[in-house]
Amino acid sequence: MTETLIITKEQADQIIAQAKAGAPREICGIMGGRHNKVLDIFPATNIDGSTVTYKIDPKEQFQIMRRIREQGLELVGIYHSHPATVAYPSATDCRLAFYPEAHYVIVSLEKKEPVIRAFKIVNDEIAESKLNII
Amino acid sequence: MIEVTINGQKEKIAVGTTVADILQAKEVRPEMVAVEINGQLIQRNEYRTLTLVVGDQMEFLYYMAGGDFGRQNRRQSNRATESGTTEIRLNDRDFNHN
Repeated sequence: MTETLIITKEQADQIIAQAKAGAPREICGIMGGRHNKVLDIFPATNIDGSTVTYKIDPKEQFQIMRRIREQGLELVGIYHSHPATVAYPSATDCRLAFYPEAHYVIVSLEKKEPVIRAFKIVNDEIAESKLNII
Repeated sequence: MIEVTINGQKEKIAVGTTVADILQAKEVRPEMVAVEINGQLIQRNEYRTLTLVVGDQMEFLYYMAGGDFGRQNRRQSNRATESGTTEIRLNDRDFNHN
């Protein structure tokens, strides 16, 4: 069954703006919410500072996860950008997908019009989520 | 035995138990996680030497990482992690090209 992730247009625009501002390096962040609905976006530092990999700063990751807990939210998504290629999980994305409960949201800046897609990655299996932008 | 809290759960551990011991007991690979003790981030090179004391609160989180590595050409791949972080280099397979 295809899972759905609900995100507002403002939240999508916020992530795209972060991706554009960070290009050509990958950007990243965490999404908190409930019942697959994103309620808060937490931009984070890509400690790799790379054009082809990301790793959320662990110190920030702990802080954000604490804030998510304090707000009574759950981890619903982890997002990052692909500045030069398609919005689809790479082999690296799959191997480092340690959160099966989260939607992995990817923003592609490959083309003039940014593309944003969401996926569930469980045991190396990729299933695209329905991204409902409201 | 002493009582500590690990990821929000109270647990009893032997005196002298290290961070590395706890991760091993939970079958967690040290290179996959970040660890905090009492709100302080612990460096990976301390895992084998840092022992927990009574009342310590240890939290560990799997890294949130990935990226487009593997779809780029070889020249870009060699500069993949400019920060030099190696924690996510789980093994060479992660950096072979697809």
